[in-house]
Amino acid sequence: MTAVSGRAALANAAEAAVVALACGGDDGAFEELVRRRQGALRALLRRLCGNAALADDLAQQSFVQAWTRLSSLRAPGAFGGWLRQIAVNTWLAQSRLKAPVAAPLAEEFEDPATADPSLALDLDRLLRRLGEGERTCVVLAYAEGLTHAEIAAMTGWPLGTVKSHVLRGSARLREWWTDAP
Amino acid sequence: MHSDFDDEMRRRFAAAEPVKADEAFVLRVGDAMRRRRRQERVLAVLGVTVLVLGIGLAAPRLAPLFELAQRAGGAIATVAGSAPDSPVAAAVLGGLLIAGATVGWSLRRL
Repeated sequence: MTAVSGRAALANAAEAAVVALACGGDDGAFEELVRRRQGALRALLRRLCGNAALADDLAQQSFVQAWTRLSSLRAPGAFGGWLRQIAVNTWLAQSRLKAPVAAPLAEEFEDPATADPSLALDLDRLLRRLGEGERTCVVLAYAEGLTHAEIAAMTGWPLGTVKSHVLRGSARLREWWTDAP
Repeated sequence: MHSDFDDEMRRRFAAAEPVKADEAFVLRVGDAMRRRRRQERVLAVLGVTVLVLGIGLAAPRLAPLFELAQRAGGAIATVAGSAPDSPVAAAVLGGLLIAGATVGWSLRRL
């Protein structure tokens, strides 16, 4: 009963307060953060790697890494950006280690919460045709709304490389969209 | 450079988010956290065991090092104008001096 009421209190608390509790070693508070942030993080990783199962594995790794490194979080309000940085690093490490991920079946992306599944599937198919560098930059620029400089800082890639990835990637998407029936 | 295409891209990304929250995923992460904690505990116990065994096995060879630390500590205490209370106190003082010098030297090399 206490656990349930504790969980309900956490669910209603402001995120900065939950982060502060998690930093103090409260595992229940961290699970609440996972509950709140999992949707956005798994969606980002699905876009980046193009494979739902792998994306969930990477999201799990990212959360566990975040949990072990909570002491390095400077401000509770920065939790979202900090977690996203960990997720992108996890994805980049994965893409450096492993061969390109095989394109999954389109059905994997079907999700009842998706506002417009036809648009999502269309976009996911096209994103999977991009190279990993282009896909990473395009997703961070358009889905996450990051500037080129922020993407460069996040990935460690030179600014010129990021700009050309975004430019080339979006040009290809535009071309494929135009060609699409 | 802002274009209709950029707007269209953002609209399409926004239309697909977020992935539905899933309690099974939360449980999965919780399990991974507990597994990680267990691994860390096992590693800590292993580390302490190896350290104790290592010290035990190396103890006979540590005597000259102890003597060196004791002499260094004694020398510092003498220079500072006070005799060391015991050989162990002198060795601890000397050990700290040697450790400080080693760390300082390592940091300068970085």
